[in-house]
Amino acid sequence: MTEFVSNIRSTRWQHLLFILMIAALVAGSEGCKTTGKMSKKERKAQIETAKKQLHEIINGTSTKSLAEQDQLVTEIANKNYNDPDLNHLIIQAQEKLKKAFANQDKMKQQKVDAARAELLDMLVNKDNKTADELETELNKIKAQQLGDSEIDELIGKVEKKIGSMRSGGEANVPMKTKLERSFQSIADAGKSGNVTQASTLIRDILALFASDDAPVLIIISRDQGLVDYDKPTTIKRYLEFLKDQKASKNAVDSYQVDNDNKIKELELIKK
Amino acid sequence: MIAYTLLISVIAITGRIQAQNKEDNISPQRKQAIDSLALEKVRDLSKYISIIGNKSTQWSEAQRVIERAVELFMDGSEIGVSSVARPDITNYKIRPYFDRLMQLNYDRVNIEWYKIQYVSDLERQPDGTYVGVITVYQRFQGFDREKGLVYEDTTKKDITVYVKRKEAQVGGRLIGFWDVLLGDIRVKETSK
Repeated sequence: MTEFVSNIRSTRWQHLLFILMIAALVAGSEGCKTTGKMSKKERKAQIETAKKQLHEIINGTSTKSLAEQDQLVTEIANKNYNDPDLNHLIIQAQEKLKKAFANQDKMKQQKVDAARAELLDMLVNKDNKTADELETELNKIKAQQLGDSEIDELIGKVEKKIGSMRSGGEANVPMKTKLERSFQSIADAGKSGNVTQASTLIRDILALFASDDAPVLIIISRDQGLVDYDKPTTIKRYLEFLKDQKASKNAVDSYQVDNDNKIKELELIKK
Repeated sequence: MIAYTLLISVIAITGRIQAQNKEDNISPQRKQAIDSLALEKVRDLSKYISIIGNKSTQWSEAQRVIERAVELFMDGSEIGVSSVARPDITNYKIRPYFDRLMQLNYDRVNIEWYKIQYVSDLERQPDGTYVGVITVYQRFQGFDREKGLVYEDTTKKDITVYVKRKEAQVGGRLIGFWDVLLGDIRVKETSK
């Protein structure tokens, strides 16, 4: 106990007091910085800057991206300047950005739709393009970086198709040619009375379709923009018809495929 | 308000008249396509008849073809049957005719249709249906396994055809198509 009291007495109290005063001064000056009030002049300048930035957004002259503009408006709003004109401009800028985002979404959707249609055409190789031509087209779509999962999936399928085209084989034959050849083979099998072969061919070709009931339309006339069709039928019935009639009198005009690359609708035209 | 309603009605009626005119005034190219379509259906029928009558056609296959053949006809249509052996003509309803054709009492049958052509062009009727008559010549030969050819005749037949424009929903879109239906088949001449 005596030792403890002796230690207290020996402490240099003057030094301790000096250190405490310095610490208080430092703490005091930091506190002034965070809680200190903005001068009227500074506030006015900041409001003017904010107004200028908001005007640029409203007038569409801002060089910032939409996301940056949106962030800027949020920052200005969060500062709560409580200036009626500024508040009005904030609302206008928010509305402007809302429309701009909606427009951006719409444009992206249009791009996605166009890319999807192009990719589906590429999958069935509607225009009988070479693997190189398909790849050039595919690269253009990839360069758009649409960031859409369905498009990415279709891109993968087209890449696979291009790969199989380059490796040769049946995959290299355009679908239109493949279908027309098969139709003729069924008709020939019917003509030679080979019912078993005709049935096998029918079964094989049905596998290319989404279902046995996939609609088949036959164009009998195209005149001045008017298209006349025969009575719609289904693919199974049409293939049986080829076998029965022993002749293939229609060419493939167009077809649509589903996401599994199966034909879901076929349009034929009288040869 | 009344004026507005009248205006809407006039626009609607005009639209309908224009649409009707469009259907009424079909171009020669379209008319030719419709004529060919009807002829094609008769040719289709001739192939079906040949398959049904063929003794080597399996029963199930013949039944399927009969279904397709029946679909070519209007309900209630009849087919005339004649013979060089007797002067009378028997008219059968469509399905009984095909059933009978399938069961003809020969070991082998050849049925061939030829000279398929219009005798009366397709003409538009007030209800919008086009009606015409197509004539065909049918050569029928019946064979016996031992005796060979035991019966043959050639029959000239007139087929009434009806063509009407209809609409169908296909893959979410409305398409206009020409529905061809065959009517009665009447025997005009029979010779050996």
